This record gives sequence, C-alpha cells and structure tokens, in this order.
Amino acid sequence: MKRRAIGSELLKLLAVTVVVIWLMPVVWVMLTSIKPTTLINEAQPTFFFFTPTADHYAEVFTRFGFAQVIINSLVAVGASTLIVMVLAFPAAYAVSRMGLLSGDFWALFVLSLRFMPGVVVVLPYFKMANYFGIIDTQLVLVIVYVAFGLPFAVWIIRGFLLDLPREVEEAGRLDGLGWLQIIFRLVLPMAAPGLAVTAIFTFVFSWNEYLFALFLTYQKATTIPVALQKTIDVYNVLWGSLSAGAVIQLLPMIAVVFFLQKHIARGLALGAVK
Amino acid sequence: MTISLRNLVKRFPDGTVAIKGIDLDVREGEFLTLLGPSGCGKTTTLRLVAGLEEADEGSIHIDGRDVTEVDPGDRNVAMVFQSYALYPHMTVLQNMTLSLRVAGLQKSVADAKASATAKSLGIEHLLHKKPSKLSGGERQRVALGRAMIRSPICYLMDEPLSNLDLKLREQMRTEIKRLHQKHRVATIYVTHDQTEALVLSDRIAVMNKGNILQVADPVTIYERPATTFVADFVGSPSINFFKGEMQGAAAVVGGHVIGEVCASGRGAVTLGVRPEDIMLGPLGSGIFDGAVAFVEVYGSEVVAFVEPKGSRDLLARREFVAAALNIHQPIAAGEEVGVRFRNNRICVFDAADGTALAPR
Repeated sequence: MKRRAIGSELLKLLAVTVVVIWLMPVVWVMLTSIKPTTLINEAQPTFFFFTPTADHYAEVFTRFGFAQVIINSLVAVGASTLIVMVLAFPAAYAVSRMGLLSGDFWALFVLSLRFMPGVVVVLPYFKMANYFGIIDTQLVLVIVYVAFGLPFAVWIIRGFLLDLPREVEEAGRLDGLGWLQIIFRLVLPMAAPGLAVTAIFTFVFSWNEYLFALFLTYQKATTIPVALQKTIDVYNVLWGSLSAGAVIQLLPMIAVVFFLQKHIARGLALGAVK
Repeated sequence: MTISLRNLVKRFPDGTVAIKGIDLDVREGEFLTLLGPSGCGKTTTLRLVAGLEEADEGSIHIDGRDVTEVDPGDRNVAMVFQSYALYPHMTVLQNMTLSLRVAGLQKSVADAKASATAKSLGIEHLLHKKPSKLSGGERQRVALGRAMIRSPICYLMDEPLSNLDLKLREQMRTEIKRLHQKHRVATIYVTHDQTEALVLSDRIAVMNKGNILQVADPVTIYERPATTFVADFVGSPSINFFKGEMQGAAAVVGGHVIGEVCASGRGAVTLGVRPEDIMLGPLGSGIFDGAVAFVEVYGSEVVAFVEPKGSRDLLARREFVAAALNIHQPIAAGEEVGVRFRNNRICVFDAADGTALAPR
C-alpha cells in the first residue's frame, strides 16, 4: 500500500515537472507580449516584476494588420475544417460500414497521403493556383487544407466508427430507420466525441500551417503564422510584437482544449490510436 | 405457420457456406430454439429471418408473406441482441419508443405504451436513465421492453442471456418463459446453452455446420436424438457412447449380449446411454466391471466416472463411463463396480454415419 502511494506521488511529481517544462516557453511568450520593449531587450531578463503594457498588441493590429490576418486565418481554417468534417464523416462511414475500399491497405494508403511532405507539392500547387488566378486568396488555402486534412480525418473517424457496435445500427434498421436516419440519429451522436477530436486535430493542423500559407499568399490572404514572420526584418526582431501575435495564435486552441477537454479525453480513449 | 424457411442458403463473401439449404417452420405462438455450437449457423439463420443478412437462395415467409427481399424494418419482427444494442445516447424511454415514433405514433401515445411495457417488466423507474447507468440485468430488461413494445409478429433473440451471471441468467430465463406463456408470440431463440434450450423451448432445432439435424420437442431431443451429434451436444454430463453390434433386436457390447434394445438391425452400431441410465452394482453384476476414477458432485446428483477394466475399446469416444447417481447413494473414487444399462432407454446409432436406427 505504502509503496504504491509513494509511486503515485512520484508520478504526480513527474507530471508536474513535465507540465512546468512544457509550459515555461509558453508563459515566457505570454509575459514577453506584455513587457515593455526596454525590459525585453535587457541582458538580465525580468520575469514577473514589471508594469504590463498593451503596446505590442496595439502594434500587431496597427502595424501588421492583424485584424485582417486573424479573419483570414479563421476563414481559411474554419471553412476548411468544416468542409473536411462534412466530407470525412460520410467517407469514413462508407469505408468502415459499406465495404467500400474497406481493407487496412486502403486505410493506410489514404493515411499515407497525409505523410507527404508539403515541400514536395508546394511548387506544383503554386503553379496551379497561379494558373487559376487564386494566389493570395482564402480559397487556395481552403483547397490545400482540405486536401491535406481530409485523408487524416477519414482515417481517424474510420477508427472511431469501427469501434462502434454494429448491432446498434442493426437494431435501428429493425426499428424501421432508413439508412440516413441511422447515420444522423444513431451513428452521428455515438461518434460525436470522435468527431470532436478529429475536428480539433484538423483545425490545429491548419491553424499552425506555415509552408503553404507562405508560398500561396503574400498580402491579402496571409494567415497568422505568416504574418508573425513579418515582425522579423533584416535589422531586428520585434520580440514584443512577435510574442503578442503568438499569444493571439494560441488563444483559440487554449479555448478549444479548455472547453472540450472532456470530449477530447473521451475521444482519445475511444480508440483514435487504433 | 408464423415463419417458414424454405431451402435457405447463405454464402459469405469468403466462400464459406454458412447455411446449407435449411427448411424450418415456426408455428403460431411457438417458442423455437436454434441450438448448436459456435459457428453452426444459428445466428446467421436468425439474422436471415430478421433481414440483417440477405439469403442467397430460398425463401422466408413471415405470417404468410414472402419477406425474402423485404427490409428489416418492414418485416414486423423484433430482435433482442446478445449485446442488447441499446442506443447509448438515448434514455430508456427513447430507446423503447423509437420504433413507435418512426412508425408515426404520437409522442404521448408512445410514452404511455412505454410506461405500460416498462411496468410489466419492472423497469418503470429506469425510464429516464441512459443505458450506461444500468446494470446488465436492467439493460436486458430494457432490450426486452424495446422488442415487446412493438407488438411484433415474432421475437428473434440472439443469445440474450449470455452476458449475464449465472443467477441472473436463471432469473431472466424464468422471466422470458413467463412473458412467452403470457403473450404467446412466436419466438426464435438462439443459444449454445442446452439447458436454456431445454428449459425454454416448445421445440428445439439442433444445428451443426449449416444444417438442421433434428427439430423436436425437448424431451424427444433428449431421449431420442436423431444423430450422435445431437445426443452428444444435448445433455450434461454428456451421453456415453459404446461400440456395439446388433444381432436382430439384441445389442452386443464388448462381446457381452446386453439384451433387447428399442431398435433392430445388423452390423456395427454406436450405443448411446445417458449417465442416468447407467446403473452401478457389485463387481460381476453388470455387463462389464470397472473402477470409479473420480466423482463429481452436482448438487442433487453425483456423477461417477468409471474406468472399464480390461476391454477399454468398448467405449466409442471417451475414456470413462459417466454414471449419474442420487446424491444419497454412497460412492467413492477407487470403488470397484459392475456396470449395467437400462436397456429400454438405449439410443442406437449407425456406427458409420451416426444416424439413429429406426425404433422397433
């Protein structure tokens, strides 16, 4: 009993250590974003005792046009996530239940599309986008993010659906439900935690995406990661603005995880790793 | 006839033939059990009747209507699944009323019906709980309620008790029997548990390897099994098989004429003798002698496992002869005994194909 108690205490200590190590840079960035520029640039770093300032936040909006940049990010990432989810769920249902390309080979093949390094395709994408005249539009980002997010989403949702008991759907058939009703009234609610996790993953991947946004947009449609880079120029790095922008980029994810952590834990436990 | 299966064949995509052209009739109000080992095709048969599998050949009629190509929801059958298959995101009430609501019944009417059904099953206090909050037995009752509320032409039950512990299983078995006696709705019940089959059924269909071997009432199945497979599968402890020979109406085992049995013929046979039809007496008093190797206590009876002396090859399948005795009859391991049969209760099978010889 005693040994087990000590073990659990050690485990807690380890967890706290991991969290501290992991959180330190995040906290540092947050502090830097509200620290006066003079203190940021001092050789002796100040951590907690300073008068906070909102100057850097003001700067990212006035100088770096973050109002538009945030909208760009939200539109491109939100729209692509929505499209991915709308397409991935029926696709995964077809794969897992209707015997369509149902083998593990196909599942891995679909997943392998996600493994493709972006650099390999960024030039062809650029040429195509240029040909169609959609460079520096939100549309091109939506297309690319859907193309990259969809295989992964199908693969994860397929795993969730395979874990759901088939008998429940069969009971629905016997109760007189048509297949659309089975999907919307039975499968969708049962798969909800899994879908939430998938949506979050998809959102986070696109939200943090840098390479495609860098190549395919330059002014009107730039997203936060690309805009952040503009705080670094040839002569200096605007650490305060960079940190303020980074915090702005972090906020939605913290919010999502905070509000949906119950679903995320349940969703992960449901077999996303299968 | 409530349900008629004619020449039903089911092949799976991998080529295995799960059901090999079976014929089966379920009479009005009858409780028929499909009994057999895993993989014998009993669940597939049930799923064919439910419409969850499509037949490759043959026809299914329910209440006189050909439903071979009809959707499960339009067959008016209700199924109870082994895993209960309750809708996990719905309350018990919603689980029970879904089919009624889909059929267009008003919510208030459906709810009232659900309350009445729940009351008859003693689960009215659970109506607003979700399945995850229920115990195994409660889930089972909800699954039954969900089936009953529809007043279907027949119930299909796929090993509904196999996830319950022994006591609860016995309790639910009695409950199912009571409900069936009360409502008399035709029921097909799938199980591999022969006790369940014997206790519940009006008739039992014993299946093996996609075929139906025998359809009969429980007593006939037990006392006059059609094949050695049926004889062996039904009954616990298992039936004893002896290598024998027929000489007219008399059977010979290990060189000893045991007298007249209820079948006649010539040539090699297998004799099936139930443990309760084996009698143990003093040495030399029986057909052959043996020593009690070990004894198992079952409660009301004890089973002595006797190892025959000398001629071991008179046993057709096992090493020991199982003899069921009254618990009050003293017997101990190591005791030497003479073994006799109740001749009029011996089942005689063809040694080559295992089918029962016609009774005399």
